[in-house]
Formats: sequence, structure tokens, C-alpha cells
Amino acid sequence: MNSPLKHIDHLAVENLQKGDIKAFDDLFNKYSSRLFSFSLKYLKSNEEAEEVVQEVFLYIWDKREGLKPDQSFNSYIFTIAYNIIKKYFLKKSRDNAFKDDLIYSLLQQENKLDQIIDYKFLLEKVEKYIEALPKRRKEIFVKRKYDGLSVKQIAKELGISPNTVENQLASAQKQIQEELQKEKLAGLLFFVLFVSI
Amino acid sequence: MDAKKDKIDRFTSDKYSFNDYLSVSSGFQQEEKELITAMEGDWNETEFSPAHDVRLNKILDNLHQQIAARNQPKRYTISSIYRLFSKIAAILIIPALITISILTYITVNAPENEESWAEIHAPLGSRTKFKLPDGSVGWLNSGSMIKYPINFRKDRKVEVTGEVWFDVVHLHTSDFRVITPYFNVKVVGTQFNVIAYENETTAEVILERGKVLLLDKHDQVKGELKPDQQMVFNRLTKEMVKSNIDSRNYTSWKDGLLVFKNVPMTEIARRLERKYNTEIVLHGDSLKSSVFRATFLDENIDEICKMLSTVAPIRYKIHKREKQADSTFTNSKIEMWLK
Repeated sequence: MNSPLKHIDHLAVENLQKGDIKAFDDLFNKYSSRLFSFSLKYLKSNEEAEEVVQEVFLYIWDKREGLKPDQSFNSYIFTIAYNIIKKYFLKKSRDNAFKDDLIYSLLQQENKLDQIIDYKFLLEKVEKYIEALPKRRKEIFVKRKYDGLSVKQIAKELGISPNTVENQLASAQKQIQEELQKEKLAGLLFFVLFVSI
Repeated sequence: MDAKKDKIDRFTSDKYSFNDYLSVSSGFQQEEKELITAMEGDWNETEFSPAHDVRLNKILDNLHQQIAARNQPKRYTISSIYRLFSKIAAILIIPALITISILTYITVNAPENEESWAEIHAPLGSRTKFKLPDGSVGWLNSGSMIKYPINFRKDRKVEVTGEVWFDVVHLHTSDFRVITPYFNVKVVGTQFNVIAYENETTAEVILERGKVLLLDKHDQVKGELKPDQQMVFNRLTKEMVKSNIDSRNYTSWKDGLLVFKNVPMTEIARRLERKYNTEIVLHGDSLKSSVFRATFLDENIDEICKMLSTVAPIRYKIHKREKQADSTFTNSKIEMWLK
């Protein structure tokens, strides 16, 4: 599979190196749809997969002068794609870390860690339950979990005692988990196929 | 290892457990070999298919825009995009005019900033009209550049290279200064022409109307020009020589005319080279010193050669641009002999 492909790319890569936008377009047309489906598999988001395609090709353009036409362009594009997908994946899991913790503890309790789940659906649920928290409780929860403020900082900012903050946080956590547990009756943990548009 | 691969497979197929997700997540975090290998296999199995998607076309459009934005400051690097651009620009001055209007508009409306400059270029083989924030206008000849500060209205100074014709608005409150690599010009509201190409040994100022003062790079006054006078600065000897001329011979290029009245062939060749981005080789001293009288109106270089050869005993050969081993093109070249 590699050798004829490599041969075809060789010329395009050589021209791209000289700043030929036509060669750039050719390589984009050849690889972009493949790159899009590939990114989608790991990021599960159309928007992010689009961003990966854009970022990969912009990187290729910026670094065109260092391209090596004799080496497989296919492998080169994979390496760039891997790194950018990794960046997006890790950023997303950092953003979702506390929600992951909630889901994790729930599933662990239920002993459902190995069950097929709709992770995205679960995340959305968590999001919804956070929204549904009483106003003050939600404010404290968001400051702690999204903004990363310490308990002391929140207490000072809101003019309440650190103990109250701790109590509100614990209640918020408990409330979300209870809601999640209720939801499982509605088939939360059954397999739901992702619909990727 | 197989278990890991199974987890990754399940994750990508969307039928996965939370453990599968955690496994992929830690794979990315630790840069695990298994994950990279599995992904590379996955990548090679992902099908090629022609990009017909609206989504991808939109991305490609975005990319083109970003690439164009990146290229702007490097417009003068030798690249095929630039060549294409200069060809188009040579035919159509209009897009250049639009760019300049926008540039001027942005400049006028932008917050004033000490460090900022605006630059206007005329690609080789084309003329570009420009208008400065104070209402002064002018033309850039082929391959020329003008640069002016964003706070231009406070400090009317421009830097130029190449050939520029100015029609400067007279303001009591501030002088207008032209800075070239070799000398400066102080202006009091006037029409004049500055020639300061980097690859030529002489630089010139030609005055049509009004009055200009010529200064050296230390702003010492070196001379004054009256209408229909020319100052030629020799870069090697650093001398300035003033002479009386017919300024229309020199400034009509801005109207698309090339006017030569009793001008030696060497000078004609130099002006044609500049205008048409070509190289002209004159064979024989008697041809070089021959004096001609002619006016050309935006003809192309082939036509000009044909006309010259019908009115004068000249034989010529045009060498078309050729693709070289490194894919760049040679400049076109014209050889001329007396018959």
C-alpha cells in the first residue's frame, strides 16, 4: 500500500515545499476526509475533529520548507495528527476531570465500570444536574470545580466561613450523584449509539 | 497488550465502557507505545475518500485565508504565489487600488500608534496608485514601495524605494518629507518624482511643479529644485548633479505613457527594463549612444520592440522566460543590435 502512495505524494510534497498552494490543495483533498473521520473516532466531536484537520494542515503549511519528499507523507501526517489529537483529548479530559470523578465514583459504586456506556450522554447529564443545583450551592460548586478556587478563597470572596463552603460542596456532590443514580432507571447505562452528524 | 488494543478498539467504535475511556485517556497522558501503534494501524486502515464534504471545503477556505494572511509581510519573497500575484497585478491595477483604499481606510481609522507603519507595494510589471492620510496622492512604479507611519498626520514622512511620483498637499502646519536610502527630500506642496532603486547606481528627484529641498541623510540642505529640474545622486561618488530637463519625459509613466525626447538608447533601455521587469542587452557602442524620440502608451514590450525596429535600424531578439532546474523562472531578456 505504501509504495505507490509514496510515489504519488512525492511530487506534491516537493511542490508544497516551494510554496505551491495547488500542491497543498491536492494533499488536503487527498487526506482531509480521512483525517476528519480518524479524529472523530478519538474526540467524538465534529467541531474538534474539524479543528484538528485545520490545525494539522496549517502546521504542514507553516513547516513546508522542512518537508522531506523522500519520506512517507502518510506517516508524517499521522505523527502530526496524533500530537494534535492528544492535545485536544487531554485538554478535554482536564476540563472534564471533576465530572469524570463523579461518574467514576457512581459507576464504581454500582460496579458498572466495565459496562458499555454513553460517556458523552453521562457528561451531559452531570452538566444538567450542576445547572439544577440551588443558586448559592451552584455558585460555590462552579467556583471550586470550574474556576479552581480554593475553599478559603471562596469563603473570603463570598464572606462566609470555610466550613459552610465545604458543606455546600459536599451537598452539591451528593445531590448530583443521587440524580445520576435515579437516572440509571431510565436506561442510562444501556448502550446508546453515538450519533455523529 | 492485546487487552489494551481491545479497549482502544472499543473506544473508537463507540461501544465502550468507562474503563475503556480511562485506558485511552491514560494512554495519551503517558504517551503509551501501545496506543500510538494502535492509532497508527487505525490511521492506515481509515479509508481514503475524495473530499466532497461541505465541512472540508469550509476548512480549506479558512486555511487559504490564514495562509494568505501569513504571506502578506513576505510579499517580496520569490515564490510561485508571488509570481502569480505579480502577473495578475500587472493586468489588473484595480485590486491593488482596492487594497490601498482599505489600507488607507484602516490607517485613518486605526488608533494612533508610534510603532506602526503602513506599506504599499507595486509588484514588478505594474503601477499602483496610492493616497496618503493627508490627501496627498501618487503613483508607485513597478517594483517600488512606500512606507508611512500610522500617525502620519502628525508627522508627514514617508520612506520610499524604487520610483514614486508624488502630488503633495500643501499644509502650513507641517512639512512633507521623503526619506530614501540615499537622501531626503523636504517638500512644500508640489508634484515631483523620486527614483531610488536599490539595484541602480544613481538616484534622482525630478520636479514638475512647486519647490523641494534636497537633504543628505544627516538632514543638511544640499540643494533646491525648481520646476523642470532634475537632481541626480551618484551612490558611488556621493555627488549630486542638477540639470534642466522636460519633466514630462520622466513623470509620464504614472499615466501609463513612456515619453522619450532625444534620449539615449541606454536610458530608454533602463526605463523599459524597469517598467517591464525584463533585461535588455544592447550590443555595440553606436546603438547605446543613439538618441531617440518616442512615446509609448501602455504597449507591451513585444509591440514596443516592433515599433522601435520599424522606425529605427534596429534588430532585436526576445528570449522568453524559461523554467530553470529549481523550478524558478529566468527573467525575460531582450537583445538589440543596430542593423
